[in-house]
Amino acid sequence: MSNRARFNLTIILVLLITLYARPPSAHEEPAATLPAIPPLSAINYNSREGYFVLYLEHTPQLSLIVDYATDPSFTTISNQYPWFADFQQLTLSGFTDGEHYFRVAQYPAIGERQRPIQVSNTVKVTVQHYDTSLALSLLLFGAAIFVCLVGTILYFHTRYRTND
Amino acid sequence: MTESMTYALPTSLGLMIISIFGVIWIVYGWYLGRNNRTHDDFALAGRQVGLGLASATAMATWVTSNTTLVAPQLAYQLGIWGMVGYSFAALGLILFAPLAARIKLLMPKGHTSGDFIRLRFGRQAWWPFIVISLIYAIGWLVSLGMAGGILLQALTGLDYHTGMSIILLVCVMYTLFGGLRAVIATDFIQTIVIIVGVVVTAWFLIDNVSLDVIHNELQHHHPRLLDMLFPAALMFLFNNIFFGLGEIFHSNVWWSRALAFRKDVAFKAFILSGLLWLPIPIVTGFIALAAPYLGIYPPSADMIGPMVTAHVLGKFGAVLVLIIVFSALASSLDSLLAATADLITRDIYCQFIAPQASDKQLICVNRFCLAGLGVFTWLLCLPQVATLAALLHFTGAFVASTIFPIVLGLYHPNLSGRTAALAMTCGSVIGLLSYFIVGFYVAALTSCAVSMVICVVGLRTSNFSFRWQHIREHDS
Repeated sequence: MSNRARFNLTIILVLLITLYARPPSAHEEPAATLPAIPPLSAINYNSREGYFVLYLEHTPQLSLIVDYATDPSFTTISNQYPWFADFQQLTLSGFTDGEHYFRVAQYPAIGERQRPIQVSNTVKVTVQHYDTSLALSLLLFGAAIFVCLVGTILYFHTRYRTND
Repeated sequence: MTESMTYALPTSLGLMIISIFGVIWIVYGWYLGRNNRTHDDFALAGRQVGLGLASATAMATWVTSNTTLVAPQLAYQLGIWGMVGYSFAALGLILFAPLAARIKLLMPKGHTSGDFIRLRFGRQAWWPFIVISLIYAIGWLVSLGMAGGILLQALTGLDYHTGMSIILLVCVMYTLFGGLRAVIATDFIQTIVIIVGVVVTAWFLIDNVSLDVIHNELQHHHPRLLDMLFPAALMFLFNNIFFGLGEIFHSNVWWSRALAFRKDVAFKAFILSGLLWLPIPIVTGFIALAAPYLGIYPPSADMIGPMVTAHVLGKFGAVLVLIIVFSALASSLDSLLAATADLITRDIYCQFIAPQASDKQLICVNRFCLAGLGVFTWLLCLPQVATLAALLHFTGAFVASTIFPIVLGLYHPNLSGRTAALAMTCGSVIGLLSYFIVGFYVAALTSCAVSMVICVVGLRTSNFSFRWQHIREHDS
């Protein structure tokens, strides 16, 4: 290799090294900007049946968990419900009378649910079941009409079958 | 996204399964429809359906999105009573058995439920009846179309609108080619698929998740679901029974079957199909009660059945659910499309537009109505306006008002057309008011009660007497 060619190669290498040389901070992963948890609401804040629907204003971009507590400060989390896929709503059921508090939280990983990374606003749902005596009255009322109907069908069916 | 947040099947696999089944149904429908010569062949399968096919078609038609999606929904929302109460809808099929025998006796050559109402009660009762029938048919069609979209979305993540469109298109196509003959034959195969599928699902579920752990989870975190005095569930119980009775007693889906079955078969077929249907909602409902233990909480309550099965049985389960629910949906959608198109052809086209229409014209109009109904249903399904249960129970206010006018109209000669019309109209209006003011729990119950009171008062004060011979003369 001639001196001229060696010189050119050295210059090119120096330029390349300069090009790839970056400050130490440039080698670090850029700080990830977490998508925010969308605001939480309930489609029905007062439930007479013990079931209700929680609703996120936008499609969630994160893996989310719903925290449930019976006090607004969430001192004790009574239960947790995983949010399904990228749907905007979640249906819960079987709750007893009282005030129930919910928030949506992002946790670092499954099994490490003590300290959430971020949480949403809190939603209060009040459950007040129908009166049992009203329900029993309707049940008996329905049973009475049903007996009348079955009696009518059986009576006429037997009567016409005999005649035919 | 974590593992718990993903769909059970890839979208492409779901689409492939639906496409394969869709093509099979369409080709089979075309094959069966080749020999349809008259309108009776097309709309009533030649009136010679035997016991096996008759029981299977009645059962398959009643196993629908209601049973495979709404039964788990009600179990998830209302607990044990929701599940057991739903199975009482079998009473509709069982109690229709004597009525079917009577229908076949009174009008062996009849065509639709509308025919009977017009001949028995006259035009004044026919109008509210036809309005109720069409509202119900559209409500049920929309719920079935929606169920198809929801099913594919829950299992594969396929867009709701795409899934709903595919399922509607397949059902319209094969019903269009084959008529009631294709509907009954595909129902038979679909019944076998449904029974085998439901039994396999239940077997695997009980094998994988023990009853004790499900019970413990519910007792601690969702106690109301186990409560035998759950108020909303108690209120729902008889309302659901009357809703089911109203659906079956008035709908041309069931009347066309009663008229298509052989005379000696109708009674036995409905009893048998009712008994076969009874345990199915218990099995499909039970799987929803396992959801809290499995950590599954659905976006919409009507998605719970497919989600739990897919979770427990993995990909195999998801494929199984897809096939079962698709079969159930198809078996009901085709029946409803065929019966409603027939009702429009016979009761509206033949009565008001072309009373002298030939068989060829009738088949042509029937097919046109079928395609039109498909497009109309598709348009109504586009905005997903309500959950399946809410939509179905809305129609409960209408159909329950027809129970007593139909039963008494078939047997009691003193019930006049005016009383029947008043009973259906007032029952529907008060049922609707109850639906909006109190809730869906009382809509069918109040509608049926009001209709019954009007019929009883009408009978007490009536000096009208109907001649059964009038129907037979017209029929022959």
